Amino acid sequence: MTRFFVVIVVSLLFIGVSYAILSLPQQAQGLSQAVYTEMGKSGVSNPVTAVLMNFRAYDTLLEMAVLFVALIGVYSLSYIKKEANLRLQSSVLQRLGGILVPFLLLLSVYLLWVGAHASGGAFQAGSMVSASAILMFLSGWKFSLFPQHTFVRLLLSLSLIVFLFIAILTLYMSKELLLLPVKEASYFIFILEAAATVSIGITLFNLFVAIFSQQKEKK
Amino acid sequence: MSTLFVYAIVGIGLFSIGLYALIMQKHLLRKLLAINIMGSGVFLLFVSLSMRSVTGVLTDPVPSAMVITGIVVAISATALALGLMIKIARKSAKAELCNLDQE
Repeated sequence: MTRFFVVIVVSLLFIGVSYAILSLPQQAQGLSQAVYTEMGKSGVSNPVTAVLMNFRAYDTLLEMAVLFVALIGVYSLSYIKKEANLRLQSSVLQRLGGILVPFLLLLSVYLLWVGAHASGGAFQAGSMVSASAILMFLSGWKFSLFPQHTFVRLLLSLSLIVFLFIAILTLYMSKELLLLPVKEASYFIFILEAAATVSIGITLFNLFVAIFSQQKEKK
Repeated sequence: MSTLFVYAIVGIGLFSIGLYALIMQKHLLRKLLAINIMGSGVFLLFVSLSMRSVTGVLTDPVPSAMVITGIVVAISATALALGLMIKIARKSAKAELCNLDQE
């Protein structure tokens, strides 16, 4: 009975929202005109990066804070063993990891660099870093990126610190929060993106490890 | 009707399927997956609607940027929810939210 009502409500929702979307105008400008007129001042030539790191940098700052808080939340929920026996045993995985990981790290640096003028940027590069770290972790490599070390804690909060520092700096320089000066904007954006890449990569890796070690422990 | 509206409809469909599963499924992991599918639907709808620019070349970059941030936030929120779910599963020996009248 409940199923019947839920099906009806959900399909009504589907029809209603579809009707609303289809009745939208076929062509709309959105904010593209506003972005493209300001592109010259942004310091990069990729509009998505310009929006992320320059025009809506405040948004990205808060997003870094969200990542950081999520990691703190996961750690406060779970007790992490330093050395858990949770490696996957596979000779294929070990060999393949040895070949793939250098390429993945190189590719993430490339993605970070190319974000200035084409598709790419901190988020893609950061997820690439975390993917290669997870691959290394699963194939049993000895490396320590866990927040028991102060250095790793620093790396985890690096992007938030850099963002806040640049926010204060721009407040001092141009009297407005995160309004990057036109001439130095590309340097600022590169620093922000590099810091964000490191923090996103290590944060996502640590989120994965925290959840992964929990599940194995349950048995 | 252009192709991007097909993507938009698919996005709404994903959202609806996810909503149905979120209401009907009891297991918390399935609920979490349903929320993720709903989120994917929203992202797809948002990005497809950003492509209806006048020239077809200059797509609107603001929704793309917001979806990129949204994906990373969705991953971290999922991890936090998984942590909560494991905690519930440990405490109550099943990964479900019990009804109030059942105790």
